[in-house]
Amino acid sequence: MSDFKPISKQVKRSWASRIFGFAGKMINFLAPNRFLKIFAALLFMLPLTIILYYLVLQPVQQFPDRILASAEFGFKPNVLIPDHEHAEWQELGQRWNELNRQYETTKSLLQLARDDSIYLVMDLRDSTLNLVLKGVKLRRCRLSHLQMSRSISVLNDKGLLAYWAGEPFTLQSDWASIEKNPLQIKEAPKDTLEALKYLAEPVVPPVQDVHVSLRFDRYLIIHINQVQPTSWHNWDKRLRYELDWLLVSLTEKIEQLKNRTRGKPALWIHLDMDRDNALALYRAIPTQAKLVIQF
Amino acid sequence: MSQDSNFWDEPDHPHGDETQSKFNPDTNETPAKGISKQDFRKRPSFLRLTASFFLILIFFLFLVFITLLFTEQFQDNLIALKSRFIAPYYPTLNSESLQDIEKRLARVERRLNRMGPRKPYLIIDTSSNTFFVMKGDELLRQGVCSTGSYTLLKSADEKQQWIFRTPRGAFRVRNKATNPIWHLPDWAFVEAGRPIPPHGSPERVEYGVLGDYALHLGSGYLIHGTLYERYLGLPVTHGCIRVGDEDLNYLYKTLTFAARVFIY
Repeated sequence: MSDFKPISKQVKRSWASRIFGFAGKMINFLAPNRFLKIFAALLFMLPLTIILYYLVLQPVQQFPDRILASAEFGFKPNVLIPDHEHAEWQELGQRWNELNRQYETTKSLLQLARDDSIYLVMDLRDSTLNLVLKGVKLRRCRLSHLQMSRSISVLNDKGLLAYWAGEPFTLQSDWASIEKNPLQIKEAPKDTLEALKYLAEPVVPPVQDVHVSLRFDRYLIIHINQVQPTSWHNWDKRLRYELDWLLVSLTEKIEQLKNRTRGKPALWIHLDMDRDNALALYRAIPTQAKLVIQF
Repeated sequence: MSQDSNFWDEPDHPHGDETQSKFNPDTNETPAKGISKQDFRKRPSFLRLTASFFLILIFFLFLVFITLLFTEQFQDNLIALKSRFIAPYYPTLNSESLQDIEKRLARVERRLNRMGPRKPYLIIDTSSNTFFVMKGDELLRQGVCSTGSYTLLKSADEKQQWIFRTPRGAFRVRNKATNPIWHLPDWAFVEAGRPIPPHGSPERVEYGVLGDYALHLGSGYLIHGTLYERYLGLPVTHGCIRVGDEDLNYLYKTLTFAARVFIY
């Protein structure tokens, strides 16, 4: 009876401790020999170590050089500044960086305005994502929520944004919970009688939940979600979208591990906007849409 | 059995510690009637060993999966830590560099501001089937329209097919017509289940179905009126843009020749 412990104490063990405890027991059982135990643990830890190195540590190690190298115009590191001139240089440098960023962005906007293609302009100053053609704002989508990876903030703080986001980004691939072009196929009627049968009242398109992921060059990924909660009858489409995205993401990471390419930094932006805006935006953008971010 | 002991550990024995203390390692002898700890240790069977191995493997694969999922978050947090040690980048500068970039910026901004249309222009949203007449940033009029139904029509012999969609992009009003006549294309007959007449046939001409006016956008696409105003706001057309009579009248009067029409 002295070993009795109240049930509440037993229940308090967390799931994590149970899982790790179980794994520990398994290792104990598998290899009573201490060296074998260490060997087994290292063997199983190897894939984790590889993943952590190539997918996490290497990109961090190469930040921000890797991102800047991805910019077409390249980046030349600055000169060493003497300590006594540092404050003056800093002020001058900050002002120049700010103007340079504005200049590069405006130049990109001008370049895109000359094209005949629809493009996106994300204005972070007034939290909007605009659909633009020939310099004319076709649709102004107000963002109700915006979150971006810290890497982007760091680039901004260190005066490197112009080198990364100066040129327009190009869309490389996209995933969505809706069809891009929902085409209905109709067979031609054989005669006028059959044609009359098909002549029904047009149907209002059903409301669809919109979740979109856009992958641009220079490692930028934008996730767009509707503000409205997902309706229950669309759960399967949402799940499919999430699984698709997960699969693509994992495949890319495995590919990266296989090739052990240079570290791939994660630069993402999460946006929430109205469903209609998200729908119009996704359907309107061309396959290789351009994007300019105004900070 | 105490609460702390478990399946894989040796069970408690009242004499376990006692017998252990009597064990002589030099002679490797145990008391004749004593019981050593080794006697209580369970010998793993092959099945248990294999099962354990696979369980551990699954556990680590699970860890790998979780790690793969959260690499971006890990990376982001580490970059935030690293940012403290990254020095800001400044280019080689002098006061002329600043003036120079200010001038260049002003020049590019002027050019960009000149890009927009000065006359009234039309924006058509095909996803919500609405139109906006604008002048600069000012909204002059807003209304409903009908755009392409995104239907693929296949002919009976499947040799021909047509997609009824409104093209997206920038267009101009190329021509303006009053009391337009509709010259029926082949698909109109195929869709109605009628035989296709030769070109120039009077069967190909219909009067009064396009409303009072039509604005040509090129490639056979028009902005015109409709007999079925109740369908406005729905994607039902064969690619043209249909508007109500009042709106059509307004568009005809407001949009000049070569006025910009933006469709998205």
